[in-house]
Amino acid sequence: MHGRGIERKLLAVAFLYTLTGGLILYLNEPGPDGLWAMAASLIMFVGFMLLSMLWQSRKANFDMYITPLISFLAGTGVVFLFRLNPGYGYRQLSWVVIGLVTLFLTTTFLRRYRDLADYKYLVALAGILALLLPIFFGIELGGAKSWLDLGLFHFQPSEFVKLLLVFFLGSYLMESRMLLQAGEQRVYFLPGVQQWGPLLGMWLTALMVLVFQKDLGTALIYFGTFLAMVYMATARWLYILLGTLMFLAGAVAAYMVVSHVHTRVAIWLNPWSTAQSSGYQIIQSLYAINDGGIWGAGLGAGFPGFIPAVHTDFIFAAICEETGLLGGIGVMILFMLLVYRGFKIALVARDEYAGLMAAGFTAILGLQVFIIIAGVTKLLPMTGITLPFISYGGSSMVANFILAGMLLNISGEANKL
Amino acid sequence: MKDNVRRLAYLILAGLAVICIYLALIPFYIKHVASSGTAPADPRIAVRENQIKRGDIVDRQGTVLARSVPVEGGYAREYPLGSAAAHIVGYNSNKYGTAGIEKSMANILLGLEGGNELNNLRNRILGHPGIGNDVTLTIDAELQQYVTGLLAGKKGAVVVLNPATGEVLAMASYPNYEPSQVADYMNHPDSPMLNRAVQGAYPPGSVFKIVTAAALLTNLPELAGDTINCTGQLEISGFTLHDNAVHGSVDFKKAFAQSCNVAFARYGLALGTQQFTREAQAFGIGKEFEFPLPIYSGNITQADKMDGPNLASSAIGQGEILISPLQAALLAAAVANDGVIMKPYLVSGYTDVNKVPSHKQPEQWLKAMDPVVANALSEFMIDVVKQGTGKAAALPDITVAGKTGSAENPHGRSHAWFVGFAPAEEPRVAVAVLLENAGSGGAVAAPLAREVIRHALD
Repeated sequence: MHGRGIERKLLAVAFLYTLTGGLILYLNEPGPDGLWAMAASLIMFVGFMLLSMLWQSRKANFDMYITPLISFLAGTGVVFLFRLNPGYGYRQLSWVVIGLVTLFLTTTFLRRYRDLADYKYLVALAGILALLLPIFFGIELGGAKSWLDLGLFHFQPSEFVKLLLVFFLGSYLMESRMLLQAGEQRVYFLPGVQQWGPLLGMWLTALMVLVFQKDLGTALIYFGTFLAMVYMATARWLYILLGTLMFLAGAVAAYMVVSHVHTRVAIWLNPWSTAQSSGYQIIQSLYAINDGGIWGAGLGAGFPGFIPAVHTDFIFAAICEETGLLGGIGVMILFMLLVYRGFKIALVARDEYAGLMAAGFTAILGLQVFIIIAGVTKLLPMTGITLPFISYGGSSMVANFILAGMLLNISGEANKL
Repeated sequence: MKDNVRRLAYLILAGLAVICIYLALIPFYIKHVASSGTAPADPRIAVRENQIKRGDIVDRQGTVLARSVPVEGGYAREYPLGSAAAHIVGYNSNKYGTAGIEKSMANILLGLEGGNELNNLRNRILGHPGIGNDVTLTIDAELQQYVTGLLAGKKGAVVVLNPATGEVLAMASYPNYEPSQVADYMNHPDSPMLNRAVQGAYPPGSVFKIVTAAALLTNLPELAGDTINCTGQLEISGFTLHDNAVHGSVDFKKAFAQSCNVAFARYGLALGTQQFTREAQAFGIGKEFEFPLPIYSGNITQADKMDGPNLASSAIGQGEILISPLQAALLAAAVANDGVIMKPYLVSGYTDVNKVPSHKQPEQWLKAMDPVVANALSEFMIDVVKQGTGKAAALPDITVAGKTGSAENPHGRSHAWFVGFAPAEEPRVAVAVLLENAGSGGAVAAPLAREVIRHALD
């Protein structure tokens, strides 16, 4: 059975959903921007449908829920960017198209991703180099120095390093799993250097990102994903405990030494005392969510412009303001379904290597969603990272499409889904 | 490994579910923070409100006290009376929030409440900015301006009300502020934003003798005929209560006219704590009531916690008794209105866009004393102005009834008080004048009250 009927039906629903958003924008303010917002839904629908047909012709047994969920999420993002600032809307649309091409390339050329396992140390090296680049040649945007200026657009290597991280850890952990688990017999002793080496390396990498790139969120995602994957591979709480303690130690040190981290924590604890300066953004975000109520002000009827950086880090607050608690939870449910499908793929994967990879990719996505939304809602300190598939940003969009492509590749190998 | 994956999946999905629940709690958090007063105003509310044409606030004759004028991107608020009515009308500022009637009647003024509910709903759904309702106050703009002028330069408050209805005719507090320039007055050491007339907590001093007198005439009328020898001080279980003078032999009438502390302290002691505090509460001391401005509802020591010295002091308006000038005016109003205190009110109604007026009916609030007692007290108060401490309040052709007070307080000189009503035969206005740290009520507050009454009855 290689029919992809469910996928197409769901894509059609996503198309209607996005089209409705575009139509509302057009009716609010008739003009080319509104027309393009509507056209965007059609372009995305056609793109996803072409991929669906391609996969069917190749008899690919890919999961049928991943792309519809992405088209809902990316559609929400594009509509909201057209609403917030049409200039970003057009660019985001082109990033989604580039993302679709990336998805095509990933599902075509990375289906034999296992080959990468042989080059895992090369992958690790590439990742570290990519992280080092912004430290020396990077520019600072929104407080984090994690960007490279490529002239035409800004490129954020850390978005891609997170994929390399999963590739490396997946291969490394599968290879040294026996060794890591062997420590089980001597649980009261510290594991040997082979075991804690990567832990230390990972910890240092996260700290480096934190200190030099001032990128709290990315450091958190890297380390969280690392711990999640180590846990899945070994089921040893000792590593998790050790890792968490090390992370906390690093975080406390960073809090004391790095003023940027200190500020973020201070804002989190009490934004109200600096309501007109550093606390302004998070307060406006909370006000936006509060103002949305249950049903929302309506698309185009809110005032998300009061939130600085609303198109990137804080887009979720704008969604809540205009579509309400129901809209915000709706987006959360889309992400939860995506995470659910990701773990489902991990559970039915052909082998443990594929399973670990799928779970790693899914964990990274889930963690990113959790960290950014917890940040904009003041559940955790704010960390400047993107909301996958929704926030404005090319690096993020392309990297997440690769991630989705990998999940599809892994699901394609499974016997049944 | 699958179990590990499953456990991690549950953990991450649970984390995302927690966020969903947390999202629903944010409005409660915002409400909590907003009520604590540390939160800045949500600019969205101001933007939305600026699109609505807020209704006018007008006085009893229809004189405009606040109106909206169209400006770029919405409406701006204008206050034709300026600082004269600022404490009543309040202000509506994007940056500093709202106060006064602008705040308490906001939903009416914004047209969110009152008028045609169906219209309001339709406007909201269609996103049409609504048109607000006009609010009518009981204030007389001309009198309000006059009273404010009299008070200018002094720290204090004046309240003028109609004792028969409870309508507040004028209410001034000084220092005051310019409602269009609120920023200049925030955190000022003289607290110009404080409405002393309703929020001020002052020892009432001798004006409280109205309450003690009513209590005595109601409960122990036989004592009113006895004479008391005032030596200028009174010893109560080790505490010495001082009088302002040695009054010699006084009966009730003379004690009231001369404001003899010794005699009234003894009346208080004779009444006892239960009877005394019950009568004070019958005048509304310590009793909350609905009012469109924030009020101080007064304080009196609980009967079971009141000892002899406290009771004696309270009977002459010292001790722990604190009242606002509005409440002081109500003491006089109770006497003027045969013992019945009408519920004081400021908003007489509102008019929706279809010009359908709503009108508030006067309401009885408390029964402070019998008409017989009120009539007797009225006579005593006439005497205070004729030949007692309140002579400075006397007017030709009009009989004024009143009571002076010089309230000792820990912050410098005495607060000067005068409460009264006129014409005594058929009272149309009751007034209270309070001047902070100004000295004797008879010398300072009474002449000011005279001018207020003269003008109010004109």
